[in-house]
Amino acid sequence: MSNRAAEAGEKATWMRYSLMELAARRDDVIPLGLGDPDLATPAEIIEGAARRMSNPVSTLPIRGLPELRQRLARRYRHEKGMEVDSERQILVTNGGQEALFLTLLALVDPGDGVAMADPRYSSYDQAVGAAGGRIVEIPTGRDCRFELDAAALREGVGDAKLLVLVNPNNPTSSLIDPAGVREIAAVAQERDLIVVADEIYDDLVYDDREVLSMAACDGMSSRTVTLSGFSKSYAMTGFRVGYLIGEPDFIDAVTVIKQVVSGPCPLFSQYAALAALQLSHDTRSAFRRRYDRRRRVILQGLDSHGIPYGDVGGGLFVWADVSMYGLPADEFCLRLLQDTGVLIFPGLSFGERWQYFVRISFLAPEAKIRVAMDRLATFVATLPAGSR
Amino acid sequence: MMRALSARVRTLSVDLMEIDVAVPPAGLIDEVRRHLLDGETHYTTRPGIVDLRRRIAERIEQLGGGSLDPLASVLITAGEREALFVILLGLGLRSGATVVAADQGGRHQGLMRLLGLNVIEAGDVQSQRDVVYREAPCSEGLWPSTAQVIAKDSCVEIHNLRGQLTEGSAGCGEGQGGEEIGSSLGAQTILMGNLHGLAGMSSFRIGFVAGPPATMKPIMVWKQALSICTAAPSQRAAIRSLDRWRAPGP
Repeated sequence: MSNRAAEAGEKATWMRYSLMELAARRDDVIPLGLGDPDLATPAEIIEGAARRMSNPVSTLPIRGLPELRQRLARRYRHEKGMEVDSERQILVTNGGQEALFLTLLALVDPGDGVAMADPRYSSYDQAVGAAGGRIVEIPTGRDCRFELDAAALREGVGDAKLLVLVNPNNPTSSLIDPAGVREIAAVAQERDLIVVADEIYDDLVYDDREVLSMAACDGMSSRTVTLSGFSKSYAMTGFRVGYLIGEPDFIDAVTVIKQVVSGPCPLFSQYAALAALQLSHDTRSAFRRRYDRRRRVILQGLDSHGIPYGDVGGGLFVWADVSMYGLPADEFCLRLLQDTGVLIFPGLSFGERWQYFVRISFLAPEAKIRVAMDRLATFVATLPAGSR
Repeated sequence: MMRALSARVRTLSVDLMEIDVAVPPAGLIDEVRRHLLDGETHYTTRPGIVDLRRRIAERIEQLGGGSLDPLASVLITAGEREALFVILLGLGLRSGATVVAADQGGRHQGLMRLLGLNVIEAGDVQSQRDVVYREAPCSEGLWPSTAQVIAKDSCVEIHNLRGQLTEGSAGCGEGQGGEEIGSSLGAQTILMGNLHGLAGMSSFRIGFVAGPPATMKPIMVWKQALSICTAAPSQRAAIRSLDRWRAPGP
């Protein structure tokens, strides 16, 4: 079960958690590492869940509350133009991460290739490892945009069976525009790839740009598994609610797996997700506007030092190149934390090539991010600038 | 997409479950709500809220299971099923590994099949086995007796307590009746179970794993890789329910 993919993922995850442990020993830390929104879950979500739990349903089906699945189907129809059968095409999961894990167990046989952009969210490596798969890295980074593009996919995909496409991306926050998504869809059809479309950040898109769901592309619904959840859009990480949308035969199969590996998602959490779907779109827009302001503060801070970064079209992170300071990113992050109390994550925890990159999240209040940028300025002033 | 399904799932067939939902007792939801409104809406500590892990360690010790460090030895999971899944992942069992278990793995037959494990009955044991799995209630009581422990020194034993950690009275193990371990568990024994029997807890889906720190470390890593952490409202409900079970109030 355990293999190189799992071990690499574990090592990368360990790197992040070691920094977090160090950070926990200080009381002045500004955490810009983890992808856990600092904003409060809207009170209506908590109150709505509590109200429903006082008179709950009598049975909890493994696929998830029918009412929650119906609401999700309605949202996908209204917002993405996708026709989804709530009875047969949705499975509610314990967060987006479980959704991916179950998906890979359902689709990957030992030795199967799973294509993913490099850099990537390394916790997914362990899921690939558990299924016995092997990771096929598709390089990104040309022109510092970090978008997976169709040409790179065509060149690098080899005999992979699956493509895991995270759009908007973690860790880079690159956003593939609709035209790019369609081009990737064309490659998927040409190479007979199943696409696992992780769209958990799709409410968090900036600069009036658009995001197109892979499953909404012509000819793609039958070969796409859409993965998403409530953690990022509604600041609900602690509730652990995600979901999968796919073809009925896939959902049947992954439901069986969910039954044997975990059982249904907790009812209270599902009621909270239901309450979230009943909120107006303004809630998500308000979150996005706040994150956008923070994003701009970070980008201005990096610009003031001439630190290059990838295009931040969506998501919650900035992917920055600190090679001008000559320090490998793990050392850069460690010293930044030790000297200033600012926690960010080194690029190596998202792929072996990224030893001079860092991931900075905007999941702290704007005022704190400004302080963090001031501390960063003080820190880099102590470093000899110059290309490595 | 049917043709893309993995071999492991194509051969797996189980009856889909529905959980009976118990109405939570008065006060439980208010307690969960209060903690959420106070900001307990984020990822919890990955292995689980420390107060809950501590309570489970205390209960295991109360039942004679020995002293456990709640931080290094106790993990909270999304139900009993996830508990066994992360244990098996954490033990690094590969397809074809041999598990000694009654009834093809009892209530977790499906998981054993999904992972491609070779499940054999105790009577079939000759020499090779990787794991012994047993489910309570076993014929000789809640805890495995020395006679039942087939291979304590040579392989890991997983003992599934199911809901028995919170069955009977809260004082059992302290001279008020109920089962006791009697002798200390093996150095490679892993305990697991659920808290679904506590009043109103069935739909919160809380399980646990407890074992030696070195064994627990990779299990905790896999839990994090699978679902990061267990839902915060469920963990908070479990803390409150355990407290009420131990000290029922008006």
